[in-house]
Amino acid sequence: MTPRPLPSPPPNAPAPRPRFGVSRRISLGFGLVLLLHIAIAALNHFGLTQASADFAAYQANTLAAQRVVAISRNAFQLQRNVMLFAHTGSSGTARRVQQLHDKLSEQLSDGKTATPQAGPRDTYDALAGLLGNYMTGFDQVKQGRGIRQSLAYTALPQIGNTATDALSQITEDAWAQHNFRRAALAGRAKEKLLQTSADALAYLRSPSIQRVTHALKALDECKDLLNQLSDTAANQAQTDQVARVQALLPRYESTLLKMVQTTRGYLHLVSVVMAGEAAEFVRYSDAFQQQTLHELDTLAARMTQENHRFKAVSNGVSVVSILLGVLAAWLIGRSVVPPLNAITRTLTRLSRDESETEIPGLNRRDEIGQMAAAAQVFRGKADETRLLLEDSRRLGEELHDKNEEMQRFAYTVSHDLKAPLVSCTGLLNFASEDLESGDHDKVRSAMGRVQANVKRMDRSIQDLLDLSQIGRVRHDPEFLDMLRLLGQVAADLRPRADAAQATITIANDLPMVVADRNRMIEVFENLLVNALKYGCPTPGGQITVGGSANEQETRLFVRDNGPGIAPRYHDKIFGLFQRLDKSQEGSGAGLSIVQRIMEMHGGRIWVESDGSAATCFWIAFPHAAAPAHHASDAAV
Amino acid sequence: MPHRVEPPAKDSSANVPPQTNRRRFIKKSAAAVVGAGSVFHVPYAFARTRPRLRVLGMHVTLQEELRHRAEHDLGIDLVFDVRGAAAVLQKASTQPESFDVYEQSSNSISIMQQAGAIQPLETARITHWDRINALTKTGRLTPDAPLGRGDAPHKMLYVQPDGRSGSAPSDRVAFLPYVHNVDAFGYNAQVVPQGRAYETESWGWLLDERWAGRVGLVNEPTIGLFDAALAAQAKGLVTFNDIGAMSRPELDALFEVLIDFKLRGHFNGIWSSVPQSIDFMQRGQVVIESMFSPAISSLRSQGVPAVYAAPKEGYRAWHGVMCLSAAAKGATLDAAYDYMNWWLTAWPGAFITRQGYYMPIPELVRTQLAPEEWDYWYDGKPAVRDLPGTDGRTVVTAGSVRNGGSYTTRLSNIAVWNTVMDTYEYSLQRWYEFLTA
Repeated sequence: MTPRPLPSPPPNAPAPRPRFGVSRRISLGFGLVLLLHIAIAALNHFGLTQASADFAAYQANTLAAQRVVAISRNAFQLQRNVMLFAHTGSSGTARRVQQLHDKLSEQLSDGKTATPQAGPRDTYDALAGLLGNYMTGFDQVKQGRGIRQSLAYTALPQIGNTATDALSQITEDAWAQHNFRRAALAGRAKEKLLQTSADALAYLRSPSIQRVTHALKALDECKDLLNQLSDTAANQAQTDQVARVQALLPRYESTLLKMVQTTRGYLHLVSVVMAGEAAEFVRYSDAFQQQTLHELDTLAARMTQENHRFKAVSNGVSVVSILLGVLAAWLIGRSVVPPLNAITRTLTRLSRDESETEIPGLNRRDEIGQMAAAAQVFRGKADETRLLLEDSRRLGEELHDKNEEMQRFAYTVSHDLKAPLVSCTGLLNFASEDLESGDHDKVRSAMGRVQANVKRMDRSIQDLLDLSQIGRVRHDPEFLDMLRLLGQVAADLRPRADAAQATITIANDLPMVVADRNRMIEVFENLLVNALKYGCPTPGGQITVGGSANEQETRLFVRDNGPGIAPRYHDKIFGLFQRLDKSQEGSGAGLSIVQRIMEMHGGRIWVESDGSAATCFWIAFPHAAAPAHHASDAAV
Repeated sequence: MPHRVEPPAKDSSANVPPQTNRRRFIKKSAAAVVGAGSVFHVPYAFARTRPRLRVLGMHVTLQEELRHRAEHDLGIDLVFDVRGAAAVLQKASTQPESFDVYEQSSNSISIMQQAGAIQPLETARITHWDRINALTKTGRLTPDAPLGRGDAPHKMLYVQPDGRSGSAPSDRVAFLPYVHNVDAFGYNAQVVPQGRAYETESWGWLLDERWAGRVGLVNEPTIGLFDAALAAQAKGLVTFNDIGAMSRPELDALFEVLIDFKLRGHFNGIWSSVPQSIDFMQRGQVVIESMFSPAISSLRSQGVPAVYAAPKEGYRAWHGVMCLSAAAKGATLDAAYDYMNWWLTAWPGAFITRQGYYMPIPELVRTQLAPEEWDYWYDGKPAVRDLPGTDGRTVVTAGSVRNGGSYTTRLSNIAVWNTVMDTYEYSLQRWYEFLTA
C-alpha cells in the first residue's frame, strides 16, 4: 500500500500587516467624503456669511442712498425757502429754513455716524461744512435784510417824511405869503423827494441800479431846487426852514445807498455765495448719491456674481463630492466585495470538496489577503482531511481485500495443506491396515505416497515462507542491466528449456530498471519457469523476453507461444496456490510472489492472452515511483 | 474732496490761500532784512501807545507774513479782518467805523463812495505817488495800448470836486492802487493741446464742445460772468455792444447760452475758491477753467502741466486798491498812510511778485528781486533757474516762460476789467438761475 503524500502545510505565519488595508481604504473613502461634506459645509457657511455681509452692506448702502436722497430733498427745500425768504422776508419762512437746517444737520450727523468708510464720512463732513457756510450766509442774509428793512421802511421814510413835511410846510407858508415861486420850488422839491422815495421803493421791489441812479438824480434835482429855494428865502427863518431840509438830504442819500448796498449784499449772498454753496452741496450730494447708487449697483452685481459663483462652486463641490463618494464606494466595493465573493465561493467550493479551487487574493497585503490566507489554511486542512479520508477509504478497501485475500489464503493454505494431510492420514490408515495385514509392499507404497504428500506440503509451506519474506528482506534498488540479468536467469534455466525443447530469446534492447536485483531474478525465474511449464507443452516452444520504456514507465514482458490463458482466468492466476494446469508440478504460488514483488516496487503485472494461443506477462516499473521498500512498512 | 468754501471774491487774488511754509520763507527773508538793518522809518516810535490799525480785506494781501513784516517795519499793530469779497464789501459799505483801511478791487469803489464809507487820499501823503505807473492813472502802460472795458481803475481814481470819482487828475484819489494782474483761463496741457499766446489761445475754448463735461467756471458774476461772456463772444454765440456794460437783453442772451451749456453738462465745476479750482484740475474733474495765477503755480509745483492762457481776445484785468475809512482820523489816519506807503516799497512788492502779481512801481520791486526773478516775472523771459515762491518752494522751473510775455505786453492786452455793471442786480438773478439750473 502506497500512502498518498499530504498537501503542503499552509503557512502558519501571520499575514503581513497590510500597508493600505481595507479598513484604511474605507476610512480614507469616508474621510474623503467627510472632507468634501465639511468643504460643502464650510462653503455654505462662507457663502451664507458673505451673503449676509453683502446683504447687510446692501441694506446699509440702500439706507445711505435713501439718506442722501432725503438730504438732497431737504437741501432743495432749504434753498427754496431761503430764496423765498430773500424775496418775502417772512419770519415763518426763516423758521422753516432753521428747521430744515436742523433736520439736515441731524441727517448729516446720523449719516456720518452710520458710515464706517472714511470717504463717505469726509463727504458728510464736507456737506456739513457747506451747510454751515450756507447757514452763515443765511444769517448774513437775515441780518442784511433786517438792516435793509430798517433802512427802507423806517429810517428812509422817517427822513423822507421829515423832509417832505418840512417842504409841505414851506409850500403852505409860501402860499400863505403868496410867494408862488417859493411855493412852486418847494412843491417841486417835494415832488423830487417823493420820486426819490418811489424809486427807492421800486428798487426794493425790483433791484436795479437804474432805479438808484434815477433816485439819486431826483435827489440831486431836489438838492438843486432846495438851493434855489434857499435863494428865495426872505428871512432867516425861511433860510433855516430850507436848511433843515437840506441837512436831511445827505442822510437820506446815505441811508438810501446803504439800503441799496445792503440789498445788493444779501442778493449777492443769496444768488452767488449761498447759491454757490448750494450748488456745491448739490454737486456733492449728487456725486455722493451717484457713488452710493453705483456702489449699490456694484454690490448688487457682485452679489449676483458671487451668488452665481457660489452656486457654481457649491454645485461643483457637491457633484465632485457625489462623484468621489460614488467612486470611493465603487473602489472600495471593487476592492472588497469581489475578493469576498470569491473567497465565499471558494469556501463554498471547498465545502463541496472541490479541492482544486484557486484561493483569490492571496497576494494581497490587506484584510482580504489575511482572509484568503485563512481560506488557504482552511483549504489545506480540507485537502488534508479529504486525503486522509481517501486514504482511510482506500485502506479500508485494501483491508477488505486483504481480509478476503487472507480468507482465501487461509482457505487455500488450509485446503492445500489439509489435502496432503488428509491424504497422508488416509495412506497411513491404509498403511496401518496393510501393516496389520502384513502387506509390506502396500505399506511401502503408501509410505512413499505419504512422503510425496509431505514433500508437497513442505514445498507449499516453503512458498508461503518465500511469499512472506518478500518485503521483509530488502535490498537497495540499483540500476539493473536486464539483458545481463536475464541472460544469467536464462542460463540457469537452460537445462529445463532444453528438457522442454524450448527456446528462450532475450531482446538486446532491454531497458534498464532500478530494482532489487534478487527480486528481479526471482520474478523472471518464476515467469520463465511458468512459460516453460505451461507455455511450452510441446517441443519447439518459443519464449521471448523484451521490453520498452515510455515517459511514464518501463515495461518488460515474457511471452510464449503456448496454448494461452483464457481471459476469465487472468485475475485468478495471480491467486496463491492457483494452478490452471495441475498436471504440472508446482505449488501455484509463483505468480502471487511475482505480483507481490512488483507491488513492492510500485509496479504492476498483468497478462495478455486471448486464451487460444500465446501468453504474454507484462511487468511495469513506473518512472516516478520509488521501489516499494521506500514506502512504509505498513504497506507490506 | 471737500474744500473750505470761501465767499467769492471779485478780486481774483482774494482767494490765495495762506500757506504756512510761505510764512516760514518770509520770516527767514524778513529776518535777513532786519539783520541787515531796516530801511524803514518808524514814525511813531515816540508815541506813548503803539498805534493799532484795522485792515479789512481779502486773502491776497492780508497774509500773515506781510502783517508781521509791516508790524515790524512800521512799529504798529495790525489787525487783519479777512473776509470774502462780498462780505468785505458788505461790512465796509455799511460799517465804515469798523475798519481803518479797506482793501478790495477797484470795481467796488463806486459803491464805497456812494455809501460814504471811504474818504479821499491826499496824493501828497503818498510817498511814491509820482512813481506809480500809467496803468492806474491812464488805463494804459503804453500810448497805443487799447483801453480795457468796464471799471478800469483810472476811470474812478481821482476824486472830483463834487466828491465823486473820475479820471480827471486831482490832488485827491479815491484809493491807492497796488496789487494787480490779468486773469484768463487755465488748462491742462496734458489734455488740451497747448496753444500759442495771443494767436490761438482763445476764451472760446471754455465753450469748446471737445471739453464738454470738463469745464470749470468761477462763481462770481463780476468775474466769471466776464469769462463766460468773453467765451461766448469768442465763439460768436453772443455779441455785446460793450462787454463791460452789458444790457439786460445781452445778459439774457448770454445766460441762455450758459444755461443751455450747463444743462448739457458742459460745466463740471463752479468753484468758489482757489484751492477748489486747483483741486478740480488736479483730480481731472476739469481740464480747462477760469483760473487765478496762484492756482497755476500751485498746480505746476504739483506736476500738473497747467498753462495759463494768453487769450487773443485779451485778458480780464483786476486792480487791487486800498482805501481809507471815512471814520479814520488822527494817528490812525497817519498809520494808515504809513501802511499804504509801506506797501509801495520793495519788500512787499517782491513778496507779492513771487505769487505772480504785479505792483504799480516795478522799478522799486526790482531792487528786491534777483535779476532772474525780474526777468521771468516782469520781463517775460525764460527762467534761467528754478524760481522760488513765497514759501521757498520752486514754483517756476528753469526754462519756463510766463505765458503772455512781459508785464507791459500782458497789461496791454486787457479786454475787460472786473466790473460791477449797472445790470449787476439783474446779473445776480440770472447767475442764480445759472447756478441752480
